[in-house]
Amino acid sequence: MKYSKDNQLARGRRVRQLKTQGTNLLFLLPAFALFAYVVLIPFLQGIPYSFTNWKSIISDKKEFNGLHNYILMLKNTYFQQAFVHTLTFTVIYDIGANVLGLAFALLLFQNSKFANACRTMMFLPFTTALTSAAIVWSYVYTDVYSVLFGAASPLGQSSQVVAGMAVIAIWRDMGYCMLIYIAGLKAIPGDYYEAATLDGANTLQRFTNVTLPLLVPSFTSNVTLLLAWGLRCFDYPMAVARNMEAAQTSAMFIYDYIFGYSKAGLGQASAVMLTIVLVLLTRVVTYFFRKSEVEA
Amino acid sequence: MKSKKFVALLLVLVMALTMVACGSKSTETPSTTAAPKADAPAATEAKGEVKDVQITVFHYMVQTTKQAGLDAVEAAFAAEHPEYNITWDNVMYNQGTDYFPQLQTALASGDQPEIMMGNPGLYPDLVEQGYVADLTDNAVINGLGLPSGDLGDVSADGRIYGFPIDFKTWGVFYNKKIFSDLGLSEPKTYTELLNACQTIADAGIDPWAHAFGDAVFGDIEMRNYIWTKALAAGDNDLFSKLMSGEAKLADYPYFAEGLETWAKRLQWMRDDAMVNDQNAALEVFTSGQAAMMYFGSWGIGDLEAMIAGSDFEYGFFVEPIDDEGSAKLNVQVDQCFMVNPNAENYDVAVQFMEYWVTEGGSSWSAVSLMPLLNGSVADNAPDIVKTLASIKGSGNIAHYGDFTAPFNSQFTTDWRTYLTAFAESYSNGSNQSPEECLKAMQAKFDQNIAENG
Amino acid sequence: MTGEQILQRQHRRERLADATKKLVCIALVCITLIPFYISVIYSIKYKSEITINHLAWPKNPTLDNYIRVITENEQFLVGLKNSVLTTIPTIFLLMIVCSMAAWVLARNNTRFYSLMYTVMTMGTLIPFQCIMLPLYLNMYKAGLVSTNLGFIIARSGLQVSISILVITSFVKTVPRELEQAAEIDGCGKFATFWQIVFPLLKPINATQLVLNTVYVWNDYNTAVVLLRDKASRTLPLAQIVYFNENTAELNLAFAFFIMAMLPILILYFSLQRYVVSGVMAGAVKG
Repeated sequence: MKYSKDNQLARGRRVRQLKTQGTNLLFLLPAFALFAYVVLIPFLQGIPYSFTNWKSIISDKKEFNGLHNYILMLKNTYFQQAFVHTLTFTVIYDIGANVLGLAFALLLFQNSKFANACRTMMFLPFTTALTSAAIVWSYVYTDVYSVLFGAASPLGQSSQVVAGMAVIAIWRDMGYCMLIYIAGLKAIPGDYYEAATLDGANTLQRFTNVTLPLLVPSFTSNVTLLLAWGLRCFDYPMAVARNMEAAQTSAMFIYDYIFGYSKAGLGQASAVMLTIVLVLLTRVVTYFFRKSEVEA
Repeated sequence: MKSKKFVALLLVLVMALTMVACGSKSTETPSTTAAPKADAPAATEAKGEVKDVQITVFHYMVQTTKQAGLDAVEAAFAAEHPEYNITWDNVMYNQGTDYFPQLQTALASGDQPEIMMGNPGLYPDLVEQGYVADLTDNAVINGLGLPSGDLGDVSADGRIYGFPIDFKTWGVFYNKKIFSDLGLSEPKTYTELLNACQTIADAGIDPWAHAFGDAVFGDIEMRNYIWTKALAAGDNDLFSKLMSGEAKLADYPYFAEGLETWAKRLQWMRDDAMVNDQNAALEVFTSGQAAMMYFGSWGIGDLEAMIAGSDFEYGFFVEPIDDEGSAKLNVQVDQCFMVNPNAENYDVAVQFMEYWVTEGGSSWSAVSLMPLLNGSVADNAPDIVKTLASIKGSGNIAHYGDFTAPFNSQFTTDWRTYLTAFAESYSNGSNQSPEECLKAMQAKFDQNIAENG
Repeated sequence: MTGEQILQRQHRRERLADATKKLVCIALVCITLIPFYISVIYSIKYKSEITINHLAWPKNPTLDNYIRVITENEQFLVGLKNSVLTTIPTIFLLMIVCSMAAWVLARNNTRFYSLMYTVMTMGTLIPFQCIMLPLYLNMYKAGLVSTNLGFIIARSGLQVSISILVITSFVKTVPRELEQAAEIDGCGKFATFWQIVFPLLKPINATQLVLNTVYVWNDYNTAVVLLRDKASRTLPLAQIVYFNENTAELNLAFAFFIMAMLPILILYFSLQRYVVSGVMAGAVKG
């Protein structure tokens, strides 16, 4: 009797577990289905093309040519340069937007009419389309920057164009970072601060010992997201530096090869390589943050 | 058993019904559209039937005047042909970023637009894949009596694949008031041009408004030299040889000479030269801050709109590329359209294009103000357009169509990129030598060629 | 020095610090808004006045450019309609679907779920240009090209990765105790989610709503591929006539730019209360 009751209990637990698993999957399914149909499947469909000599996308002729495209692209210095530009852009942009976003969040996270108004204003840039932001800034650079500092617009100079575009991106996205940081700051329980104050911690100590560790999830989210946005950078150079070699990004390179230059196989191979590099890079960065997240 | 049979029967029935439904749909479409060519007009005339036709036009004429021009020709054609009830589907994209990618994507999915804008030489894939009708024997095109260059611009490998409508050209636009105030006249030699620049600069005015923010401007400043010299030297296969790798840039002395000539006038660059787009440069020019602008006929409408109501006056001269008077007006077919033989309403599309290059041309130029290939210009066009048309009519021109093939899109991009970089080096004082520029360009060309294998 | 004096001085110092902080904030806001100032200036000038002085306030400010955009750009109103009709379903679909998925992903650490998380967030790394063609071909076969539904599906799919990334990291900051309590009380998964978790996600969902609106509303790259028919085109595609190599309609372009931004601003203003309201206020108060 006792034995069978145990058995029943165990079975009940198993059933419950299965049910939980089932519900979990059900919760996951709609998002995954959308993602799979729009991103994952098309991406996987594209991979086989990278092993062919496919030229124009309107041509049916594609023959398997192994790793030829990959070897050719690895040797292509222009592809490498485009990646360096992309990376430089991303580093400046990611750091700049996060530092400014965090600074604004700390300045403005309290609830007051003034802070509210400022927050709204700081978020405004984020509502603009990337292309529009770039075009408006090309006028900011010529009408304001050049007049004020007597220097030519960075968008017209190979040595400064990447930084110039990064500034546009920082301007646009720092408000977003600020919002995420504010949400993170709001989530920090007040008693943590009280406890720290009771322990005799000053403002700086409270910031480094309480605020920063608890903001790590927000850091992870912002830094990786901006990393992804930065590494896919396409609209800014398309809008304001289409014909500048120093502003070519990897995404532009891929677009041109697949759709503009009728070298679809090569373009797909570069796309696959780029994605692999991006994944590795992001893993490294998130690894660092994840580790601190666990510690916190 | 019984129920199984019943289900099977039901399935068959459903399938049959679906097939009928689909079948009727698919048989319906061809019957209304692909009616046999020979007896269609007769039948419609007899019964006075109106045929429903949809014409899809892929184009990149983003300027409103040109869109209005297209609408005008379409309306005029529809008025001439009451036997068709035409639905026009004008699909527009931006050329520099979207047009060709979107056109190709559409074709790759099986769409068959009737008419596609563009120069067949630039889009060899479309021709190869059979999306472009061979018009070599088209009686209307042959009846236009166009010079070889005009036809060359719409040909690939000696076959005609497009209907050419109008042409573009470029050169130096200058501020008449500044020129007359300083006692300058249109320079006839390159030395005179440089002297004029110096005089203008000495008077505290910037000689040039530049628009190197747009890729095409480095290109047009160099074309005048290269095209004219290359055609004079008989290097009609210049671009094909550079693209195949048979020849290098260094094999043609005029590339280095051209860059050197260009560099001489690049010493007068404004701070905004590298970022200005056409529009911003036009502003600089029309506000009198700069005396001259290297500019193309495609923007005359914009220029006129900008100065409407002001007393600004401008003149035009062909850049004197040397002191020997070898300069010629450069001409290239501007609007040009290919017709898709696989399209549902191919016949009507051809009829429409035939109309556009003949009687319909006047509807087009009256609205778009573009000079037609046969030299005729709308009465309301600015004087400068009339002047350009008359120079083209004289035949003393260097025509892009006389080259055996144009640069393809990748080579065009690279050519422009390195020319813009060359100009940039003169704005920041690093002054690239022509050889350095050509070396960098050739390296990129070699890369392109290596990837073709 | 009496205690009162010290207190007063402290007060004064605090007030001074507060005033300085406010001044700094105002200065920063002003710098941030320069591009908008320029846009507004350009958009209320006549073409003839633009050339004279770029930054000066116009002598005769005009709304002419705005009117011209609405009346002359035949794609403006169509685009506005389509943008509204596609953006609203997309953002709500994303809110429901992604917060459900994010909750599961944040609360389960087994290998399967971390793999799912990795795969789904990897989507943020794939450049749109490399999925553009296969996506278009698939949607063409499914008859979804040039339809609002197709655009909603595509835009939702593209936003899933970012939403999951952001919401998951937020869920991790939400204390688990409430859910555990609910489960002990015998609440099912669905009930726990809808009654306990979903309300707690309000701040992040409000933020996501704004973020996704920005991305869907401003999307050009997806729209230009998927929306070919004029009747289906969204607002950003109506700007082709202004933002291209050969345009001379700068003031129209800026008027367009400002009008296209307005709906998002309205949304942001109406949601701002929630966006950073701190549903966690209770926790903050302790």
